[in-house]
Amino acid sequence: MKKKSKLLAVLRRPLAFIGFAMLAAVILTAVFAPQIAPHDYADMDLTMKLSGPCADYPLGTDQYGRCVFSRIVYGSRIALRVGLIAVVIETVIGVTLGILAGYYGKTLDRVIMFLTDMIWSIPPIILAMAIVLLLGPSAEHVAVAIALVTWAQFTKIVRAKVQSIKTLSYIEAARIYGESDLQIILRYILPNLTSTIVILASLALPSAILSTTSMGFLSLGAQEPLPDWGMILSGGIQFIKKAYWISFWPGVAIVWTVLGFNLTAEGVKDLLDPRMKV
Amino acid sequence: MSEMAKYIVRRLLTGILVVLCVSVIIFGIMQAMPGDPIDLMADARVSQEKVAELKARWGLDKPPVVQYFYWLANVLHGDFGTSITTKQDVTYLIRERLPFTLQLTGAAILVEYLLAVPLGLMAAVRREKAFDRGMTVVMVVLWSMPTFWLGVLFIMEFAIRHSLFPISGYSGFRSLILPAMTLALPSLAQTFRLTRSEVLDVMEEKHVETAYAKGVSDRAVLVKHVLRNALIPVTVTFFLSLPWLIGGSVVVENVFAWPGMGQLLWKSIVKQDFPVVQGIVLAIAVLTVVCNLMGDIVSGILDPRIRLE
Repeated sequence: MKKKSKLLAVLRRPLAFIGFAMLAAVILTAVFAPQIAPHDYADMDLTMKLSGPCADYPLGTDQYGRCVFSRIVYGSRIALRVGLIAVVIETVIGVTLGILAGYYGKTLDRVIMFLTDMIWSIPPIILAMAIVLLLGPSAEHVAVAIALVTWAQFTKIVRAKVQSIKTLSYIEAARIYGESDLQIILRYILPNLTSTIVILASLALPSAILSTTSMGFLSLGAQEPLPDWGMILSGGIQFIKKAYWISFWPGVAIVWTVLGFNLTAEGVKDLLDPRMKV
Repeated sequence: MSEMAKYIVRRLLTGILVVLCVSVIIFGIMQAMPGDPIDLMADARVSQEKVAELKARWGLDKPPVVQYFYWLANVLHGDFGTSITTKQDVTYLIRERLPFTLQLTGAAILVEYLLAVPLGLMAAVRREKAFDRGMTVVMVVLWSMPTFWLGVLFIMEFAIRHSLFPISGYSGFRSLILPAMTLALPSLAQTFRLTRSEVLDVMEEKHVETAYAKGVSDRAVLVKHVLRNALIPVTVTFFLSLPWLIGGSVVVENVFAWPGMGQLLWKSIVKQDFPVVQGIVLAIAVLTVVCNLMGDIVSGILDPRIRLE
């Protein structure tokens, strides 16, 4: 199948198409945030504290009289950026260790597998909290922390895949021709891993975004006045009786984004390798 | 020694090694933080000599490696040190909070499995029918939900609008329902998916075909032949999912002001109360390793092939 028709095949699956459309909306919102948002995310109007949705403030205001809608619109930039950074780092770490473990085997394999066991023996969010405690709360540090606690899922699957690729006869042939390990890995093994890596990364992105919002909810992510979705939501809980909109709408934005990514990722997986188990 | 015993011993030793390494990591993180507990506790009125004396008493003047062994020895005696902010015993704090966290996660895991397994089975049997497709969509949506938002929705609907349950805090069984549902629902999707795909796999196997061919009723085949085999991996993940739920409970406890370990952990992180953070993270790591070990043992018993790996 040609590339173009493959793309069309994805779009023909209704759920994947809906997901892709949702995702496109989020990306456009992030890119054109200054044009879409009626106010700046930090603009306060102290005469309009906790006021309900109106023409000027479509989703109401928070306790400082800031526009909730504008904050959510700008917040999409933080969510996408942090999620993307986290997934890039975790992919690089996870895939590198997976290739090393699978290709070299023996002691190196055992050490790396032990490392993944260890990472998995602390619930990810708790380890991430400890790492952010060490680095200090900020959006970038949350991305690093999430990457450091999630790379192991890449390692396990990449390792298994490399173990089976390694036995193929053309790898053997390359070795006989005197190609170095590095050449073999870059030229023959990595290209064979592309679809696995794409699937894993596209599945990791929504859960990374979900984790970043959890960290934001615990106010360990981007700090005020930056509009982190999780932080806006947690800040609104104390006003939930008077001003439900502060906590309600950021949640809608999170579900929308994560669902968009999840549905798209399912589509990508169906397209590249429907039988892969993750 | 039987093969099973060997397998258990091997897993147990790995588990102990993992806990030790985790303790090194946690100690390392805390060590990398600026200042030590004595610096943080002492204010300007405390004399330099007194500070030095206290440091010597707690071994804080020694190199980090020595300090680690001091700390480890104390931990093995059940002494996690003293909280910087409340001056309370960390072991006491954990012991006070742990039952609440276990209660919440226990209730959540019960809700999760009681819903996910039957739904997964039904979806597999009605494969590609309206029910299956509908459930798949519902599960993706649940999977995409942040627990804290689900909690907020529950509070808005059931605690404020209908005042069926308390908004937050602990006040008996009724206060447990909303937090437990909040924790259970987003993780439902994984168990549902696993049950569904395992049932589908088993249904394609020869012995199930044979059972049908022998004229065993649909219901009996499903329960005796399909569910029994399909539930092996599902049982194993029961243990593996417990630590995830404990992780998730950190967030949920903070939505509902539930007096568990998660809330304590978060408060301690915000206040930079290192001894408490250290103690809780280590306690949770031990709990996780124990759960993983139980998962390994159960899977070894249920599926003999695994022991040989």
